[in-house]
Amino acid sequence: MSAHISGERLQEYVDGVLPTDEQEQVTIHLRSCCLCKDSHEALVAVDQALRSLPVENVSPAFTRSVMEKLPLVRKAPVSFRILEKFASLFALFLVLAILATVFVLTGVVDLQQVNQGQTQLEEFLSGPMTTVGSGIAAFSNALAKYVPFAFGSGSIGITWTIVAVVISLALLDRIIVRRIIPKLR
Amino acid sequence: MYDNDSQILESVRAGNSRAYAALVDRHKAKAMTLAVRILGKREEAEEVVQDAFLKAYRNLDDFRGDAKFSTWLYRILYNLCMTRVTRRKEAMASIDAGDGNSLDVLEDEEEVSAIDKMAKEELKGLVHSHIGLLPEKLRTAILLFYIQEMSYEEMSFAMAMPLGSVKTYLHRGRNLLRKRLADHLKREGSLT
Repeated sequence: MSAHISGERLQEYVDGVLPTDEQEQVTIHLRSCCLCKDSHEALVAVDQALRSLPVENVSPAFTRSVMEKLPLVRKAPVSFRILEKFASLFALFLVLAILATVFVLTGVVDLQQVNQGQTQLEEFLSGPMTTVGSGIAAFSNALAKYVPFAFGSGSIGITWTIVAVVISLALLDRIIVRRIIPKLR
Repeated sequence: MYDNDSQILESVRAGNSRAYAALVDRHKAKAMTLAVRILGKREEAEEVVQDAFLKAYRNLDDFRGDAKFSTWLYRILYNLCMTRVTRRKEAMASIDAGDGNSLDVLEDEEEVSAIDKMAKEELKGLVHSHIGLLPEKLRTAILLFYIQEMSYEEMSFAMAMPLGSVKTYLHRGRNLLRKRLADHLKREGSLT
């Protein structure tokens, strides 16, 4: 090994992570190369300084404080853990239910139309299998027909509806996961 | 009373929650050192370390023993610290923007000789004061390696990063530290 040892390799030597044969090669090289020897000594000096970093003192009161709080962090019952995992899904259903109620109450969608839509959906589902594309098209048509306020072509309402749904989801998710569930534990 | 973490964990899992105190006692000092060095504030570090121990206890069922308990605990602690750092918007500049990006100070003879000439105690003091000024990922890699005495694999688990990344962080952290030490000495030299 006539060329100088790279800094990275020398650091690996100091860390003791080189394979045994390479470790020996470096040791031999250091005996005969003053430049690498100086570099090695500088690395070792910083290494030793780093290893001597003081460790914090922590009082026994800290342990007592942790132990006093242990009963408060018992694992939540399975039902809550399921609720927590599917919080976003629950939030989605909740928001859709609220929106549907608002649409029906404000007369944007009347119950008769809803019933017609349901019948159409049942017919669609019970009929022969169609392609995914026609399914999506049928769904879009149904939305445009029964919720023109939000999904009609050229309607600006769609933008606001999507924004409202996204914000409501985010808020509900935050409230359920971060506020309500921890209190129930 | 207990020889290792596994015995304590076994006891806790068997229903003896008081045994968890032994686990806290074994790891609190080094965990606190890591948190203080990342966050910079002792009070905040105490809160975060406490949260880490409580979170570890709560999720003990998820710990399967693939890694050491301490490594798993530091992973939780590191995540909590990083959440705080992000929240405080004190995240330091990306390492790519840092001056330690393409350093290989060992090729700089001036710096090698400057570090060589320094008295050991003086060097220790400088290293201890400069380590807190490193970007937190570089600092964390150094602390996990030197204080927690973790292997690269354990660091990779604790920081949830590929092995290559933690090696790079450690390498850059040490290089940047040496560069800053040498700069400090140059500044001092020019003043005298």
